[in-house]
Amino acid sequence: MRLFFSLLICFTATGMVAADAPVKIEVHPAKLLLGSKRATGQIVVTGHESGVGFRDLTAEATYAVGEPLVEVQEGRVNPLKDGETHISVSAGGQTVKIPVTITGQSKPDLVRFRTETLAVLTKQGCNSGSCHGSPDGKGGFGLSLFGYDPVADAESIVRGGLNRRVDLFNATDSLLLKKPMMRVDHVGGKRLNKNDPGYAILHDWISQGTKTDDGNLPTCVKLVVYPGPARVLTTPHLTQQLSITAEFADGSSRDVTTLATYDVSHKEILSVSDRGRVTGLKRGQGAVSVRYLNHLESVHFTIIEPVPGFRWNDPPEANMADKHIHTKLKQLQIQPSGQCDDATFIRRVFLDLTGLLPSFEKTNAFLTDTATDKRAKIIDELLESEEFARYWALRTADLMRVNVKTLPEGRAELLGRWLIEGYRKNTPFDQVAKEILTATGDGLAVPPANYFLAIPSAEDLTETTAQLFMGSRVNCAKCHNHPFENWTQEDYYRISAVFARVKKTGKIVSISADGETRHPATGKTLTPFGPATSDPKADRRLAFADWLTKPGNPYFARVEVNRIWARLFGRGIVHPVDDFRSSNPPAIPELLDALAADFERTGYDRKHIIRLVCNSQTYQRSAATNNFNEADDVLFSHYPVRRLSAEQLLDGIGQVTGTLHTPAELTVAIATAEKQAAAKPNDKRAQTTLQRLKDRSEYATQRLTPEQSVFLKAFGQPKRESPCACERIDEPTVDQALQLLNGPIVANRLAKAAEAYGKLTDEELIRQLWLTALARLPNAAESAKVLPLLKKSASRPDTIKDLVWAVINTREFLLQH
Amino acid sequence: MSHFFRSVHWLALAIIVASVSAPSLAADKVFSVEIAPVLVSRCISCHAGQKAKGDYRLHTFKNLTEPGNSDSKPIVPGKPEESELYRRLVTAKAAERMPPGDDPLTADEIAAIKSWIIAGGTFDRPDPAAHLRSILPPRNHPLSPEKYPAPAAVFALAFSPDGSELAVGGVNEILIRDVSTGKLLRRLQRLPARIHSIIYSADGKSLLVAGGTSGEYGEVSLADAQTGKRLRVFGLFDDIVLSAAFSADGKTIVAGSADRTVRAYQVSDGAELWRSALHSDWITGVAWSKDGRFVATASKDRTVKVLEAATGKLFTTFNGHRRQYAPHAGQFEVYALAFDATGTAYSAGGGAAIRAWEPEKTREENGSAADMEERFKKAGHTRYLDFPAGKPVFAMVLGDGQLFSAGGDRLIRQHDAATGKIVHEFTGHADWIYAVAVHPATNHLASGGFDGEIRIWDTKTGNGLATFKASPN
Repeated sequence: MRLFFSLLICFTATGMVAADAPVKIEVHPAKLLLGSKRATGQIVVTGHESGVGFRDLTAEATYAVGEPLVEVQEGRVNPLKDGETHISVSAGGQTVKIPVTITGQSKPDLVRFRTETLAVLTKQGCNSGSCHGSPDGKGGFGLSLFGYDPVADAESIVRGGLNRRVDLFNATDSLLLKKPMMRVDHVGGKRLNKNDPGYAILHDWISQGTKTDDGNLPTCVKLVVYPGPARVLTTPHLTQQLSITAEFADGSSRDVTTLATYDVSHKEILSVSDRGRVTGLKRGQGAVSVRYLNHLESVHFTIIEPVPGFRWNDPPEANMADKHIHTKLKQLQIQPSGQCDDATFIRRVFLDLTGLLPSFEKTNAFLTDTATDKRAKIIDELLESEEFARYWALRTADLMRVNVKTLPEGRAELLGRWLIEGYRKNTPFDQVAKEILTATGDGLAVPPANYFLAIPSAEDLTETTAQLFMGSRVNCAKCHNHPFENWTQEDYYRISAVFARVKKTGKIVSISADGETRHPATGKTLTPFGPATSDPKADRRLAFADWLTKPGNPYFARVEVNRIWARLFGRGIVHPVDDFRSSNPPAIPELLDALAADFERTGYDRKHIIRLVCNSQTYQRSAATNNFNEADDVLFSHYPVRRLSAEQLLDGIGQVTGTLHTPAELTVAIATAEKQAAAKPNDKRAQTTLQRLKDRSEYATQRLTPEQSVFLKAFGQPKRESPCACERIDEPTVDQALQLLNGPIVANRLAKAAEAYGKLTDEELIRQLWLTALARLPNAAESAKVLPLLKKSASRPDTIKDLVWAVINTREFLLQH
Repeated sequence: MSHFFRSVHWLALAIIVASVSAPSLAADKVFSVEIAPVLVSRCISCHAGQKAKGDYRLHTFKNLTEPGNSDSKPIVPGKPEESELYRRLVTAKAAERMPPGDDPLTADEIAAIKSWIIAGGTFDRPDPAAHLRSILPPRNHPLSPEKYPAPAAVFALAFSPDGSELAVGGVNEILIRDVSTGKLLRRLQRLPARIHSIIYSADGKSLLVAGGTSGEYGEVSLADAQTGKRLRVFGLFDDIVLSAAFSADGKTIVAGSADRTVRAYQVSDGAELWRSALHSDWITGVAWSKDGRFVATASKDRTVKVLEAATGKLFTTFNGHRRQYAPHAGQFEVYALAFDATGTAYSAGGGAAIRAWEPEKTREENGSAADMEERFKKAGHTRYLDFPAGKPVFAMVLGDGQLFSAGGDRLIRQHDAATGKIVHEFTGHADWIYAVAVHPATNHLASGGFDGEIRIWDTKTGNGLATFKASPN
């Protein structure tokens, strides 16, 4: 401490500004090998500062070359002559020497079509989806999206268009250069400058004879991005140079920093130059994705700027979820909101876990309970409830096409009940997934077999499985390599190959002895996705399911805990929940990893994760914001307010108007119906009545298949036709307002409400109404307003109707908060 | 002669400099010859149209003189330093220097603009609202390279009327070779960079030459078959000219360009007779019916249009290359076209058949909108000369009732036009074929393509007779 202090004085005394001088500098790469004339190197210099972290010094460092065999500019190294030398990198008063070996300078180094020309076309945007990479091309010139089909691109560029795009005799006269430079009219505008690295590559490739026969050269197998996978930038040092290396199948590697294509996920937070220099623009998080050929890697950046007046108030932590969130919030200088009150909590946890509002008796008891662990107790109680199993199974069934049209003969209901049973018994999730993915037999006898029967095509099965269990939207890769992710067309058809032998005969799923999947472009027979199996005759799905559900699988646990998180917060740690990709990073990666690890550790115990999250301070936070978190809507620093789902809303209105059986009433009704049905075993109506009661068909949040009424559709209830969570629509519409203000559902139920509430005294009435609808007691102002209205009312039933209608149409009722 | 004009020019300049108030003289061709070509090649692609950069346009002389967003006067007569147009070319500020992100104009070009502004910055043509492209003179083409680093891709081949010589499109030139010995006889130089069409006049003394530079310039001219000197440049196009043809009587020519226009010119005086812009994509082929009545034009837009040769008016459209129903369903670009003596047209491109059809019947079958339900029967009289194609046909010639077609399949197929049967397949080319020519009297067929290899074949035996390169080396 004393040393630090004296240092500080020393710097101040000598007028040096380096109060933040690095403790140590680190230079990447440790050594350089430049093996051909056009080989390059990109040095990245990092300063480690005491207590603060890292800082990029690449631009301000000085580079001194020993024997002058290379030239260095801002960390970019170009070879001059064969030999051995070194570069002394100095920054902040420290120097690191890196050895450099230069070879091959006397040999020609022709531009390679597949690994250079196509990379430039991607970098300049030529083969993007909205330009020449669109299926029909543009202006008669078509390219494959991001160059996934080099053979077709070679033909299109060189021999196609009557060879008009390249001029071997006068390369500068080539349309491939003149168009993007706007030397001639180009609808796509100016895409290339003469000093862009890509210009020289395109020009040389043309003047060297537009050779495209490099198909046998080693392919790029890996892209290494330095630094990665995450970096924190703190003001005022908000830049970071990246260094990108491509590794090839023959073990060679090459600097592709200027060839790679850069994109940012959040343009307001980050920018990146075409030479890989990242600049932080404002506080927040974002990803820079780096593409080279069909490889894509991302670096996640956190930008930290001091917030005036911010002081971390060290909020309590209930468990590890809070710990990870607090670490992130503290780092980004966001102050979380305080805890919500008991009334808010009981309403919130009931809606999230059961889909229903708490009954007024339950709320009343909870509010008056003085036990300190009453929140934990109610969470435990709800997790064991039938309503929980039904409501959570409903949301799972939403993604598996569990509807009567797709699965007739009662099979939708069978699969629905099977999913409920999984939650009821808390079946480990790996077991659930395995039973689904390996199901064989008659859909009437084996409920999970209906998973396969509900999905019409092999492609759909590939996409649904990837989306449900791997959180990945692989659809793009059906026709071409995925534009934003590493999914290749081969991956897609290898997943498809897993299911190539699934045979569907009517409602029976079986496995046939043969059946292969071929790559649509190359015709190659593909091995199933996942590890190779020893027994070629075994059901391929078994190996796939084993691979998928094995602890350490990169997708399975993360995807499921993220889905659980999203259902409790309305937003995933990765959002959307089924769009996991490196260019769409988790808001708090450590949180997602920790939850996934816990999920694996507990044997995929879904209730454990739900319980953990519900007991966290994070879940129990108020929706109100403070000055230091009002701008945050992705880091869970306050509870995210959202509209009740279609089903929650319909049942909520039913509960408030007293038009639904309460769970207790339902138990009685089922017992009665059972007696009647037992008395008349041949009476179909009695059986149906019983089954309907048992399946809780009157509850939108509890039934087996979606009712798809006008009301539910208006509020976005999914039809269950897609595995995408996005099929449920959250956006507000005019129809929703009309349904609530004067729709038939509301109107009919209000009439019943008048009857139910009419029996109560005025005071009892508003107390019960408030507790049921809002899970709280009316405040003095509300009572003062409402009571006189009831007293003076000419028609009490009409006034009650108006009152209930008004409560239903408050934001407090309509929102989950 | 030129000396004389030069002195007049300097005299005029002296007058302007001496007297600032002197009226602009539109006599000397400085702007259209020295300035406009530079502006068109270096500036106009950004500074024209709706989205013109800096809201400054210079595609017409009138626009050129009106300030853009900077409000600085582009041209201040006599004062280049005060002229924004000049300042932007020479400024040391990298962000302001035009053209951005590209080489500056050459010193000669900048000097020409400077002296033009000093001389008054006047316009030398009648209509200041005319598009600059329309006032450009024909280009002076550079000399061809002495030696070629590699053979040039071949897009045009022609036998002389007596069959002794073969004209081959080269780079800024036509190479004339002796067919029997393969010897290079002459280089006809200072022609367009790329030659897409060569046709000998009936007397063999001149050549109809079409070509240009892709994406920016097209030209069709009549050149001396011995010297290559351009006797007449018929017209300039906004993109390369891909095809040209003489009428049977040799008095008229037509040319079709990638700029989507077809134009007809009178050979005697070069007058443009008509212009047609009905196609929505490149015109890849033009052909004249032997009776002189029709000009047919093939296009990448998947149609062939039949125009009345006298007026250029549309007679009918052949849609047989885009069919929803069998036979030969599909959408195919058309690259080659020929008429036989009886008036039957043959057209080919993508797909696996040459289409043989007649303009009159095509028009009858096209009918009107009222018979939409009969659509699938349209082009019902078309004959399909099948072949197992993979890639499109780019070139096709007709000689003595035999059709020779070639393209991306790297071979030439000979169909008997009457029976539709394949007579021969000429194999040996290793790359795409873009050009074929036939000389029925000597039974010679010539072919060439992307790799610059030219082959001479005997049409009777199908044997290859000679192979040489499209190169003067």
